[in-house]
Amino acid sequence: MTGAEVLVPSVVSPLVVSLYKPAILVGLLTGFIGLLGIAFKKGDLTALILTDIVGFAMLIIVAAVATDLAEALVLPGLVVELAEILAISEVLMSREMRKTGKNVSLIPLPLSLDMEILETAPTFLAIILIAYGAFLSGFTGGAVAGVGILFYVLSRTIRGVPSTLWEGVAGISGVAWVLWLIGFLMFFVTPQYWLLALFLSAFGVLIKVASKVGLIGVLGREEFKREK
Amino acid sequence: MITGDLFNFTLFVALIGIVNIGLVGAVKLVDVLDSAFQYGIIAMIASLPLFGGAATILAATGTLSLIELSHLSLVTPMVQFASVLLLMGIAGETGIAPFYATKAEMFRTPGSPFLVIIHLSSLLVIVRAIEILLIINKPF
Repeated sequence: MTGAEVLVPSVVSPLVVSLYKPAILVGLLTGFIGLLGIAFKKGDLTALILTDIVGFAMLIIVAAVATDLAEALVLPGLVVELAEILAISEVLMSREMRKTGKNVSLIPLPLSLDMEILETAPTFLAIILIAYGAFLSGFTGGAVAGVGILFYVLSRTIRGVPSTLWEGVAGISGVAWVLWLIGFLMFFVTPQYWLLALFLSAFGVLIKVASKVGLIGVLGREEFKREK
Repeated sequence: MITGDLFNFTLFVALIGIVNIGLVGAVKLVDVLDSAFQYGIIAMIASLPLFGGAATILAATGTLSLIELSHLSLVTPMVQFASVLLLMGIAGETGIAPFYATKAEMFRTPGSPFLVIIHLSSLLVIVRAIEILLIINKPF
């Protein structure tokens, strides 16, 4: 710990500084336990779940640095971890579907939820959420509007969603992404039009995030159905 | 890939791993999907040394900027340890030498597309990774 005095400001109490070593040890130990679990359990699904423990160990080691920069690094680390586990579980599901020849619905529900409220309420709630999302704009607004679309889709899946609708939404998402990029480019190329650039990127990312959240998993499932 | 920030590079490497799994996952053969699953598990485990290495370098030097890192004169044992972790992570994510067995089956199976992309992305990332490790450790 000879270099620590140089890097850590004197306002930080030595107790906090001394926590770094135990935190790293805990992180490595967690990772080791996870790897032991993977070595002992041979099942594919258990291996997938246990690798998540190794991911947590990674987050512990990153968070142990405990500066604001490290805090900013935890989020991308978590997102990458989630993306990896989603991709691998999708591969696993695709393989199992291929093996057994059975298809799996988007949301496997044990009950038949054929209720009237699922026909009347979703449209209203989705419109409110999308309107509020459009009012918020930006990434948060996109997330809110996306929840509205996702809610609409999830409650309508019982009736069935037309696949052409999803292709249209995917197209809108692509165009919105281009708008977002153009907005960002304008910030650098023509800074005097910053307001236009701001609105382009704000609403581009709104539509983009909204349509992407609404699309989660659905396009993949359509792809799978088309082949059969 | 041509980034001046160490953490951006590690994120890029992790994304390369995910994209490789995605490319192979598009193939509808059970053997290839098996191999993609194993590669995915290795890639996920490798994210521990990958991000852990970057975080340890941040803890040891106080910066992640490669320009700042190249100006630092002394290399502590902690930085060397972090570099070893980083190398392990990159090897696992791109599936090179010690972890090649997970990827081999993907290449052997006929009909899997984009093999060249997967191979080339790994190679280019390795070249840049070696450069970054040289910048951090300054052996010469």
